[in-house]
Amino acid sequence: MTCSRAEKLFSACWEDELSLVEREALEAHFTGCAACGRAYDGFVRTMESVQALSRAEVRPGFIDQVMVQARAAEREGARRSRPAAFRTWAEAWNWRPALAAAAMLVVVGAGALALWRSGVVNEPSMARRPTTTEPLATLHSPQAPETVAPKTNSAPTATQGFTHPNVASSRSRARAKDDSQPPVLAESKNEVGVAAAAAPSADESGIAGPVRGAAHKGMRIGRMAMGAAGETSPVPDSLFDHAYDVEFALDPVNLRRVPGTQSLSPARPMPTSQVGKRASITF
Amino acid sequence: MGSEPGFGERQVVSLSDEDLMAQAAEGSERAFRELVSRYQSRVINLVSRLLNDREASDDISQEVFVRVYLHRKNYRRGAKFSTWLFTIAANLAKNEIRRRRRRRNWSSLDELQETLRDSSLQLMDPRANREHEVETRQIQAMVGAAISTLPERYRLALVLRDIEGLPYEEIAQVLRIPGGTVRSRINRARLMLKKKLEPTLRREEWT
Repeated sequence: MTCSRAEKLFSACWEDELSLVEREALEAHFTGCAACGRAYDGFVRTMESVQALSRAEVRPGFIDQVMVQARAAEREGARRSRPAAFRTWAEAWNWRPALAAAAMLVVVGAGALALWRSGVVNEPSMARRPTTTEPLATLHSPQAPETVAPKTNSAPTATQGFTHPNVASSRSRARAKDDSQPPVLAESKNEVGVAAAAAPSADESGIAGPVRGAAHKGMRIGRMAMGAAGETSPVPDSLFDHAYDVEFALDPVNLRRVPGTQSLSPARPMPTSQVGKRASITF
Repeated sequence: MGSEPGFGERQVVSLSDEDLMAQAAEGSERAFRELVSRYQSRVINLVSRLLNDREASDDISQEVFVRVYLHRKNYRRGAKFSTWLFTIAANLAKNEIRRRRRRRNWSSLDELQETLRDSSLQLMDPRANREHEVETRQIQAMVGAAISTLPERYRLALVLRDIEGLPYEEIAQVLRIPGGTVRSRINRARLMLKKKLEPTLRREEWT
């Protein structure tokens, strides 16, 4: 063992933390090296003198002084903390992410407002309801004041075609792909399926047939979106993108079947007396 | 904080440091006073040995407990209270050491060596008629002065271990250094102190 190594073991030897092997080696070195022996003796005296140091006495009233200072410091801290706390909060609050989030909210809100105003978003009262496979009800329901097509005393003949509500203004359409499910006329918004009116009788089958036929082509009719002036203009697909129930303000028009075809003639406004009546169509 | 009915002295004395701290965090002045009573001597002694200034140690020791009071609600229940307390005391003492060093009010090594040399000469004179108590006080003053000349990091480790008797693990937490570094610093501090006091203690041994 070298003198340098021996000196490094003085602390452990003083604290009795040496292993038996290390202690024997150190003792053997002391035997052979008087200087290290004296050095370790000096080390022991130093440690004894350190441990013999008297402890500082606590002066009377120390605790009371502590409490006085502590309360004063707390009061001072509370007085200063209000604006400081706000500043600390303001400084600690990383405003950049918050600003980005606020900007995003503004953009989203503006977009939602624009969509709402453009009429793409339905009114809350419009609830999504499943489509129905019920056959198209007759348009000539005598009990439905909202029915646009009146029940005339003389059932319209095939030559006359049938009155079919025309879409004067619409906010939606049924699913375009669901042409197999004809639209259903309902007396009220809450009714789904067949209108209260009886299905067209066989006598009226001439009407029912073309009515059904027209129903199958309801999408196309809807798409015609004829105005009161009888103008034809394509309806944007986006207006019929969902399955919400819609309420159309309809101006009654006459539709005539084009002879020799299954298509209908362009709608023509109905007689004045029928104008203004409303019907509810559920897709 | 005010009167606390139903919370007697006996209950306070029987509580652990952590429980007392929890009570103090909830507003119990009596619990905080008990904590101060338990640790005032150790904190004062620690600070006075680090600074070798009895007068200043009182002010700094009071500041230690004021800090504990102000941050009592931040105390984590799982942490050992004494470790937290000594950490605050050590930090405040370090700040004072550095402040004094900057102001050049600190005793230089040369001044210490001169003090030690004069003391040694006096101790060497067998014809000096000094009482054992005076000699002991002088030796303790020299030892205290020698400790105060140690570099800050060695001084802290030495005082916490050899004067306050903290275990190595707790010293490591207070100083926020690894356990091996604690042992190394303590050993180095002891050897440095031995070298400073060797002339004095050798002469004292001869008398």
